[in-house]
Amino acid sequence: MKREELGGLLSATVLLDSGYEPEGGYDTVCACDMMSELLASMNQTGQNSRGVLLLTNLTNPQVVRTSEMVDIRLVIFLRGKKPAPETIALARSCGISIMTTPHTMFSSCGILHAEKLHDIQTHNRDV
Amino acid sequence: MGTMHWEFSVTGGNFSGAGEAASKIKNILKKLGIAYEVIRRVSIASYEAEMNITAYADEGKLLVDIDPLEINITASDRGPGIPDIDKAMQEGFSTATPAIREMGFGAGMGLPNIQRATDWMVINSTVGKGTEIKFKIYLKT
Repeated sequence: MKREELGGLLSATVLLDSGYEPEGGYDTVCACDMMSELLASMNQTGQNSRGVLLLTNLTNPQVVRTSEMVDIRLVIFLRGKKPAPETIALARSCGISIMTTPHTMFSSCGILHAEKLHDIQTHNRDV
Repeated sequence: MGTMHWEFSVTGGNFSGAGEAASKIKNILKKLGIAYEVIRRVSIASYEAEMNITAYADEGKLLVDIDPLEINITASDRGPGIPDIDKAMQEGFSTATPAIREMGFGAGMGLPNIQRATDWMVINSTVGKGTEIKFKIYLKT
């Protein structure tokens, strides 16, 4: 699924557009507020991170830094949250796109699940 | 390729800069053309190690050695040390402060994450002096 389509489904606002679109689109969701959980999940997939997006309630720069470490290129903040300028600045330097959706974690996951996006635990793309 | 060596200093408490060393390590590995899967494992382990220094120690450093067979990283710090390493290795055990938890860390997964991401890991720690975590990832094809 293309980023623009995802944004439409989640009524999201684009805060930073890196211009990156994964080949084959986004197809996998990591919904997570604990960064170590994110690292653990990405370590266990053993797969390429292309097509993985992050849904999170946290807006500090570490969210972007953690995403950079595991090659996640799209972060969507929940409940209309907007990150601090330093978070945006770090995302810009890492080539990560940022959006914000008014939906909660539960609703966002429901919307994307209904569209057949995968959970990170069952992520199984070819490298 | 012979053995290459890098060293990065990490300042305790500098949360806004946390991850810069791991990011630099990742970029070096990319430039060297290291396999994607290896880069991700090194990134996860070195980032968790750097977060530990940032969160708990006064100061520390990450030493990186790469030879044709493996990547060795030593994360050493001057800090409070770990009184019970076995306990620290238990998933879920944490002594993190609220500030660390606000960053999305402190769930007691840092050391287990390093162990899972690496081929070999050892921790040496002296209470009141500091901690040294060494880990290794093989450059498998």
